[in-house]
Amino acid sequence: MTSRLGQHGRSKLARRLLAVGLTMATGYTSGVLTLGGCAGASWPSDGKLPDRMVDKLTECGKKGPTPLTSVSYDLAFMVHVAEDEREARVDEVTLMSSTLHISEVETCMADALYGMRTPLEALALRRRNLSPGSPVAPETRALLGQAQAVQLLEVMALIVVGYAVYTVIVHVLVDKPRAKPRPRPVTAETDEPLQPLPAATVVPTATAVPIVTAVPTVIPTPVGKSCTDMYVDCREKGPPCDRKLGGKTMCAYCQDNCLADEPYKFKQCTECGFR
Amino acid sequence: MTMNTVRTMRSATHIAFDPFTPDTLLRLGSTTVVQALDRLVIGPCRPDPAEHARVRLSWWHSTEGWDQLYSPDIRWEPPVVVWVSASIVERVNLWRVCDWLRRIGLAHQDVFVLDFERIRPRGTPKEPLPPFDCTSSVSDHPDEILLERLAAAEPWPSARYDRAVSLWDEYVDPDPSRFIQSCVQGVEGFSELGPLWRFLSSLFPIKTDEGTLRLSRLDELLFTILSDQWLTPVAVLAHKSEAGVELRQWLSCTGDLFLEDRLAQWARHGSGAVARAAGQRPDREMVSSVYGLTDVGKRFRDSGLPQLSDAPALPIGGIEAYAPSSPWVLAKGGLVRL
Repeated sequence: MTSRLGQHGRSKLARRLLAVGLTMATGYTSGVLTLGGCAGASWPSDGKLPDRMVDKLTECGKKGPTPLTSVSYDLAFMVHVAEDEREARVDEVTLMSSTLHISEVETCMADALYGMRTPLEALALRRRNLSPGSPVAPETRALLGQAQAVQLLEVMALIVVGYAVYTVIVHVLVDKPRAKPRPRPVTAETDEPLQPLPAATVVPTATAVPIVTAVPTVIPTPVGKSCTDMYVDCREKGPPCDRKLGGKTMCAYCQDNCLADEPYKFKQCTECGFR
Repeated sequence: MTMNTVRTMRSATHIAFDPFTPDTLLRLGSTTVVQALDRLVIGPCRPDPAEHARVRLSWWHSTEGWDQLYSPDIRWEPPVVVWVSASIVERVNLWRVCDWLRRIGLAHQDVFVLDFERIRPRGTPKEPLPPFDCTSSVSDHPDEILLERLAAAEPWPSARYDRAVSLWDEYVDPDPSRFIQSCVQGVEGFSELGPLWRFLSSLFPIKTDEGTLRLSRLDELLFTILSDQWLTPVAVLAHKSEAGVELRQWLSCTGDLFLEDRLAQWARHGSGAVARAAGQRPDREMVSSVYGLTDVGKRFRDSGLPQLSDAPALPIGGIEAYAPSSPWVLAKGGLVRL
């Protein structure tokens, strides 16, 4: 149990940004490709995990602590769905980050997610949605290892067990054996002199190391914003960002962390305007 | 984690002084964590717990129970483990806890105070760090360290525990002489007194060698930032100036909510140094009003206060700064009666 809450907060941010990066790079947005219509399948739809899955996760949560006061935990999982011409299956579930640190619960939840089976219909639907006129250019797909990974969707579930609240975020990715990469144009299509690409428009290439290099291209860093600027943004947002905790708002706690250049202790800091 | 540590973690009543440490302790297996979150370095404090609780709620204009120390729902069964960081805000709270536990009959042998030193930020701070620490948290330390300290915990010696209780008694005393003496001379085992005094002294008006009465450092900063232009308290706090940087250092101890209170106290005060008008967001604290400095305020800032009562009183522990009835001012010899 060497990881700490704050460190996880940053780590989680980076990973969530990765997920966002993948989403943006592929032209998808969560929800657009929700895989509804798969009645009976244990598969996310409408941006939510199915009830049966939530029930399983809740059972896992019951194996965790039973606090006497309100306490929240965040867990993020990456679910890889492997696909070939004949079938698709969940082939890997990775715990990306957790503030819980109780392996029994984490493993239980991972096992439950591994049980999301038979996404064939879902994938068929995905193909129907993507094939004709798909806006997704192959070269804009991110790469994971030797596979081309496309984020299908990101879903979140809130699991409440007594005073414990688990926020479980699941990134579902489809891995495909890497196809022959399509060559990218290397010259500009205008007569303008070549300029370095702005960071936000850099796309992963076939030779790029995928994850780490993809992240900075999509970090929505508010350029030039100071910690106090972000405090102002945070206060602008109102509840729950300006929640009072003993004479001090949560925004002020976030500002303390920002000024000291240390990880945010409240996971909500990033949602309240801090980067 | 040894079985004894596991058992202590589960069975003990734990006290934590910041919003983060309870989560850490619960994660490590504790089942009862009492949050004592109040920032006692600002506002009134009283010897009697019931009276203290009442004045604190009134000070923060709150009915919220941030502070559970006096909650009747808590069954104070030994052992009690007190987790305290180097933050001066937490240290004052520690004295209060020692006093409270003695009042309810817990022997000092049943109380385990776990001290955690400050961890310097690994990165480069964006603004200079203040000469006092008000932001440290026990949860800054890795779990292993917490468990190691718990495994090795021993009760404080009786004399040290007594000194903690005495410090609370001195802090809430309407006569600050004993407390000031402790701060200036130091008390063995309580190294927080130096930085605490550095902080507290910024809250008192200053009498110069020439006999001029000047604003406290905190008010001087406010009056430096305020101007003819209307500013919300949020804008005052975020002011991009040296005064703004220093103000944020003090506010790291008082909490940001104190800033609006202090500005409102000035605006309500009869001296007319600070003017107030309605802001654009009446529903939001710290932006619901805007403040500006009047000519009177500029005179106070530049030439000093004609008299102590020209500024609103500011309660700190058992006394009040700027109060004619307890005219304590900062002078060459420390805090002295005017």
